[in-house]
Amino acid sequence: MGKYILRRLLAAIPLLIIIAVFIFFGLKISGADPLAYLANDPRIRPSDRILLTARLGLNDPVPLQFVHWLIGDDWYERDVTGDGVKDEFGTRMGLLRGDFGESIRYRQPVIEIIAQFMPNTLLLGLTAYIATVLISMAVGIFAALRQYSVADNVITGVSFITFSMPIFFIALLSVQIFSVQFKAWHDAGASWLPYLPVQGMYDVRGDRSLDELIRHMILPVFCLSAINIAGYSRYIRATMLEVISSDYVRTARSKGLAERRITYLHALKNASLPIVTLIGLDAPFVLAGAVVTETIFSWPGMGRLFIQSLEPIDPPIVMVFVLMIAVAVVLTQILIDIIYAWLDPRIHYT
Amino acid sequence: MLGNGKRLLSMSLVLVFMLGLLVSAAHAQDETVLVFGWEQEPDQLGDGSTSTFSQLLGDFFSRKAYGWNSKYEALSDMMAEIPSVGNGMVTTNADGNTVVTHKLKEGLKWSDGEPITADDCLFGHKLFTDTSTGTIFRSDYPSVVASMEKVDDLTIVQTFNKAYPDFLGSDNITVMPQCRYPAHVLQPLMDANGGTVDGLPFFTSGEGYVGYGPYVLESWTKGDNITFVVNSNWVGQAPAFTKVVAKFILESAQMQNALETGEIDVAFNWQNDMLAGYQAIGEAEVFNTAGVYADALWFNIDETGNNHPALRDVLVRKAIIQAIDRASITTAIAGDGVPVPGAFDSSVWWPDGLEVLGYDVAAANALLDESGWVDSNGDGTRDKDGMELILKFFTTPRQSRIDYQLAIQAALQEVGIYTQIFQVPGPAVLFASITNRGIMAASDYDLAIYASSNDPISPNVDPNSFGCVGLPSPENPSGSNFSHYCDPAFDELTPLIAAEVDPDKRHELKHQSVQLMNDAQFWAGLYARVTWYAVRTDRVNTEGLKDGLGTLASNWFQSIEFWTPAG
Repeated sequence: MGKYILRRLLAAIPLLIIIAVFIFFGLKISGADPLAYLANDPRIRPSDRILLTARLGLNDPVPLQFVHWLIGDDWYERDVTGDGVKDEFGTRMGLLRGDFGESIRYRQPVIEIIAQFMPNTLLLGLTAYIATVLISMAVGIFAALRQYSVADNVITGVSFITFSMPIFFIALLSVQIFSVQFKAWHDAGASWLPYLPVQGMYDVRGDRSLDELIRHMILPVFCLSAINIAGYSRYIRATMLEVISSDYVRTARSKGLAERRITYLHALKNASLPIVTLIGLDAPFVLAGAVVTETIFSWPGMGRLFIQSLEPIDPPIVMVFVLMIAVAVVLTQILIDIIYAWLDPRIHYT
Repeated sequence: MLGNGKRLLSMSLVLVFMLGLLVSAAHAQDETVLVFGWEQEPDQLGDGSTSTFSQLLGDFFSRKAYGWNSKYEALSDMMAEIPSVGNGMVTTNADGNTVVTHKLKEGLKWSDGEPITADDCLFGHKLFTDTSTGTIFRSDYPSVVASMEKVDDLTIVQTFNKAYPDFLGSDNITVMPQCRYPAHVLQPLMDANGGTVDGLPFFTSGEGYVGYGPYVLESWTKGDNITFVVNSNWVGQAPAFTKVVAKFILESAQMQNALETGEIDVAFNWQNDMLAGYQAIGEAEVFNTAGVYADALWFNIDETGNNHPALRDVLVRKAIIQAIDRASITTAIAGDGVPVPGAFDSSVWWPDGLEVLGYDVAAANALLDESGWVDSNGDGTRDKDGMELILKFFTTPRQSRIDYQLAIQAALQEVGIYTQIFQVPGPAVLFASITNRGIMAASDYDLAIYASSNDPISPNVDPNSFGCVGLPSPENPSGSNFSHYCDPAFDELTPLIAAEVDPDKRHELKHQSVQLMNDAQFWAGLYARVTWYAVRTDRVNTEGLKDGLGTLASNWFQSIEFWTPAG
C-alpha cells in the first residue's frame, strides 16, 4: 500500500504541472486585465499604470511570465520606467520555491490571505459536510427500509423540491423567514420566538462567544446542506435498496441475525463503497468554500475571497485557489482508494 | 430497527432546533456602537488603495489636510487657515507660478501621541513625488507641485510649477499637502522595507496604524469587518459614538435585511430600485445626497457627420428638451426626490439668469414648426425637404437607461419626432474609439443617454470632451468630444479658466463658459446619481446629519465625529 501511495503521489506531479499550465494560460487567454480597476480612478496617472504594469511583469512575454510564476523573477532584470534601460530586478521567488505570489488587490502574500480566509471556510464547510453526510445517511436508510411507505414518499417529494431549488433562493428565503420575519414577530410581542442572524460570523456588538458563532452558522450550514442532503439521501436510498435485496443479506436474515446488525454492519458497509466515491468527489470543494452561500451570508471564507478576486481579476489569488483545489482532488482520490481497501478486503493495490 | 432510523432523524431535527433556541434573546446592544453596512472591503488603507470605499474609511482615522462641506466650501481639521489670495497665503512668484503657505494647527497629535509637524508634510511630499517610494496613487501631485519647504515646525510653503488656481485640489485632483502620514512611524518601516511602502502591514492589514482622525483602527478582520475606536489624541469634536464598525456585506438584499433586523445601523450607496424596500423599514429614515455623476441626454450636433441634419438646428434641440417631462419621468424611474440637473456644470458655476428649459409641449411644437419641421405628409412624423425626422437613439443596456429611453421615445412621438432606439455595450461599442468603430466617435448617432461627472470644486473644462481639439477623427483617435460641440469662443476660455488664480475673475470666466455651453443646448440632464442612505432612527440621531454628509464622493463621512446616538 505504501508503495502504491508513493507511486500515486509521484504520478500526480505531472498532472499538477499540466493543471498549472492550463490555469496560467487559461487566465492569460481570457484577456482579463488585472489593472482594469485602475481605469476610472482620477488619481491614477498613465505613468502610475505603466510603472505598475512593468513591476508586475505584465509586459514580459507570456511564457516567461509562466516561468516567473513557477521559479520567480528575482534573477530577472527589467525596465520599469520605460526608458529602455533595465533598472529593477523582480522580487518574486516563484511557486516551486514556496512563494505563491502577492495579491494585486491586497498587496499581501497570497498564502497569508488564504490563511486568513481558509479557517472560516473549513469551519463552515466541514460542519455542513458532516451534517450532510450524517443526515443524508439517516434519511436515506430510513427511506430505504420503508420503501413506498407514506414517509418514503414524503421524503422523496421533499428531496425533489429541495434539489430543484437554487441555493441563493433557499438562502434568501430562509433569511426572510428565520431572520427578518421571526425578528418582526419577536419584536411584535412573541418574545419566546427565536430568530437567526442575517449575516456574518459574529454579531459586531456581541462578545464573539461560541453560542454567537453557532447562531450565525445555522442558516449557512442549513443552506449548504439542504441541497446536498436531498441528493445524497436519494443516492443512499437507492444503494441501500440494492444491497438489502441481495443474497447475502437474505442469508443473514435466514440465519436469524438481528435486523440492526444486518442493516448497519453488513448492508451499510457494502453500500458505502459508491457512497464513499460520491462523498470523496465532493470533499475537496469544501476547501473552495461555498461561493454563493458565503457571499449571501457575508461569511469571510474562500468562496467570498474567490468572488472578490474575480472582479477585478486578481490572478495570483485565482491561480493558487484553483491549484489548491486540484491538489485537494488528487489527494482525496488517493484517500478514497485507501478507504476502498479498508471497506472491501477484496480490493488490493500493488 | 425502524425505530433507530426515526430516532436518528428526530435527533438531527432536535439538534437543529436546540441550536435555534440559543438565539432566544438578542444581545444587549451597546448604544454607542455605530455599525455601517459596507458593500466593498478596502483592499488596503491609505493612498495605495484605489477603492472608493477605502478612501471613505480614511475620513474616520486619517484626515486629509483639507476637505469640502456640502456647499463646496473648503474646511480643514488639520490646518489653522484656509489659504486664499485674500488672506495672503496664496501668491504668485516671479516666474508666474503659484505659491501656497499652509499652517498646521497648534497642538495636533498623531493617534500615538506624537506631535504632527511640518516634517510630516515634507515626508508626505517625498512619498508623492518620489516614485521609488512605492505604489501610491499620486494623481496630479508630482506633475504640478514643484517643491515644498519648511518654514517652521508648523508652516510649509508649497510651490507649483505653473499658475495653479486649484491649489487645494478638488474632487478629482490631489495636490494638497500630504500631511496624513506619520514620518516617525513610516520612515523606519520603509527603511526596513527597502525604502518602499509596498507590502507594509501598516497599510495592508492596518498593523500598528497611526493616523490623525476622530477614530483609530482597533481591528480589521479580513472579509468581515473593520472596527475603529475613539482616538484619545484627537483634538477636534469628541465623537459621541465610542466605536464605529464597517461591516462588509456584498449582497444588496442582505444589506437591507441586516438594516431591518438591526444588525447594522446605516446602509448606503444602494440602488434606486431598492428605495421602496428601505422606505418600508419602519425604523429607518431614508434620504439621499447628490453625487457628481449625472445621466443625461446628449445630442450629436456634428455639422458634417452621419447624424440627422435636424440636430444641427438649436431650435430642434430646444424643442426636444422641452418635449420631455424630465421631472416626472425621473420621479417614476429614479425615485421621488432625485434631482434633475439643469446644466452640465454644477450650479455653483452658473451665471445669473441661466436659462434652464422646462417641460412645455406647446413651446416644443412651436419651435419645431419655426424650424421648418412639420408633418407635411400626414404620417405622424415631422419632415422637411422630403426627409423624415427620425432619430437614432442609443444607450447602454442598463435598465434605468432603457426605461428613460422608452419614456423619451414616447414623449418625442407626441411632438412628431420618431426615434429608433438601440442598446449597445458601453465601452466596447458606444464609447469605443474611432479606430475601434465606436458609434459615438464615428458620429453615427443622434441622441444618446449616458453618464458623466463634473467637478463642483474645480471649474476646469476637459478640452478633450468639449473642445474642438477633442473631436474624434482618424488623426485624433483618442478624442472624446462625442457631441461634436466645437466653439472657438468656448475653447478660448478653457485655458484662461485653468490658469486664473483670482477667484472672482475665474468665476466670471467660468460663467461665460457655462453660458456658451448652455446656449448650444446639446445636453439635457435626466437625473443626478444620488447616494442613498437608510439610517435607523432608533440608533442614530438623524437631525442635522443630512447637511453634514456633503455631496462629494470623497467626503460622505468626513463629519463622522458629529454623528450622535438616538435619544
